[in-house]
Amino acid sequence: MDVSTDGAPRLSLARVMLCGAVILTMSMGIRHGFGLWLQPMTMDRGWTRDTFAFAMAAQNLAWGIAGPLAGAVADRFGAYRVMMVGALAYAGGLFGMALATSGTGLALTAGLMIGVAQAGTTYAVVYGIIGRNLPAERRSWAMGVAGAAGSFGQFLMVPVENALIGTLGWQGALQVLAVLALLIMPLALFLRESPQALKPPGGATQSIGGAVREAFGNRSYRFLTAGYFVCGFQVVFIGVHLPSYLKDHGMSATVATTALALVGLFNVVGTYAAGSLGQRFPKRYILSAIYGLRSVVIIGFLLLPLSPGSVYVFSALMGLLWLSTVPPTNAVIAQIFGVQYMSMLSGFAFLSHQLGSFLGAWLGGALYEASGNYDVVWMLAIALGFFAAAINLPVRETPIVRPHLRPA
Amino acid sequence: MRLAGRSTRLGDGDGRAGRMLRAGLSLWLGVLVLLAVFAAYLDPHLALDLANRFWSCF
Repeated sequence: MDVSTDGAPRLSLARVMLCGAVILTMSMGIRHGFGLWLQPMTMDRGWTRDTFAFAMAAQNLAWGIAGPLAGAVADRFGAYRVMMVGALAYAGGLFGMALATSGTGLALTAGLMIGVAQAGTTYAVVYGIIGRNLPAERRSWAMGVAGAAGSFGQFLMVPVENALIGTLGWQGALQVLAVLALLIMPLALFLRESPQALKPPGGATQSIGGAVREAFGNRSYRFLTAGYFVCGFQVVFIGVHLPSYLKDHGMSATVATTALALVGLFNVVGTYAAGSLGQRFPKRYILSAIYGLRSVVIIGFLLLPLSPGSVYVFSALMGLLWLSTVPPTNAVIAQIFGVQYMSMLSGFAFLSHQLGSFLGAWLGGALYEASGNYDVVWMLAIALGFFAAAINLPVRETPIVRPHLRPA
Repeated sequence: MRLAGRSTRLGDGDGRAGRMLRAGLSLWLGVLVLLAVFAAYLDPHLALDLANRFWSCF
């Protein structure tokens, strides 16, 4: 363990990056391929697709709602404890999913348990450790690396899970994944921070309620949070509905699969690049560019004649812009508010992201049913992208001044 | 004990060539892994076959 300039013991860069990246690879990756279980589970259990879809929607909402709570506990009592509980919930949720025989059981395990587990093992909690243990001049880069690891997990686990289901059956595959999720526990132990590291530099403490009031009273935080909502909306709408859109326009299933693979591949590059760029340039410009470019890319995709080539170019470009918002958004939060309540504040921003995700998935289907096509939702995605690009520009990245706080 | 700021410098004590070699190797490995996973999307059977061949070497 190293010692920072304020005297508090800090974890080393190698330890934080290696353990954080592997944890994110697993936690982001495992649940990403859940769509592969839709057909075998519903056929085996005699469920409708609604039953499965409801559990997945509940998972996303539980992830968002549990995020601020998990973040607050991590900030106050140590992230490793939250990750240990999260890993147990992840494994329990996966075992439970394998054994669930009713829709309620599925919603409680695959939905609620895994959603809560996600909140305890993904970005907000890991980024809190990065924020507290790495110097500000490496933070955005480190968040980019960790974010890229999460993106890589999403990219990696789909074919791995496909192979597991093919060789072990859907229940056996879930049990293997449950054991894999338990591996987060020993890794979390390596990220155990000293109690001094959880205290802010200088000893000026702030209450949780004070931190929440301060953040939501801050215009820049509200803008970042609103932008994150748009991120969730666009990403989930495209991820969920693009294959159907392509099918509606006569594209083969192979084109849709390749498109999603390209999104996954370029997402790894884009997430890393955004983090690295955030170390050199103002992050508000990076975020604004990402949201604005998403809209430009969507416009180009819709205006150009649809072909496999145009789909692949669109997918690669969208992949570059996919989760690339995550490192700069979190790095700005750390920059403005410091790292004492970083996981909790990231959790609140992520709750907004998840509400956007929910709406993107749901509105995509609802408006399609109402109008017979995706035109309205594409327009909404474009307009929201420009809106997010505009509101990120006035974000002030300077640290907040707290004259009322005195050292404890 | 070392200061956290100092310990974060990658490759302290190594030559520039060594650092570049490590970075290049890491990048190359990373690209290979990404392409292998990408191939698994396009042809899962090919990916499984390659994985089996790889493990049979040990």
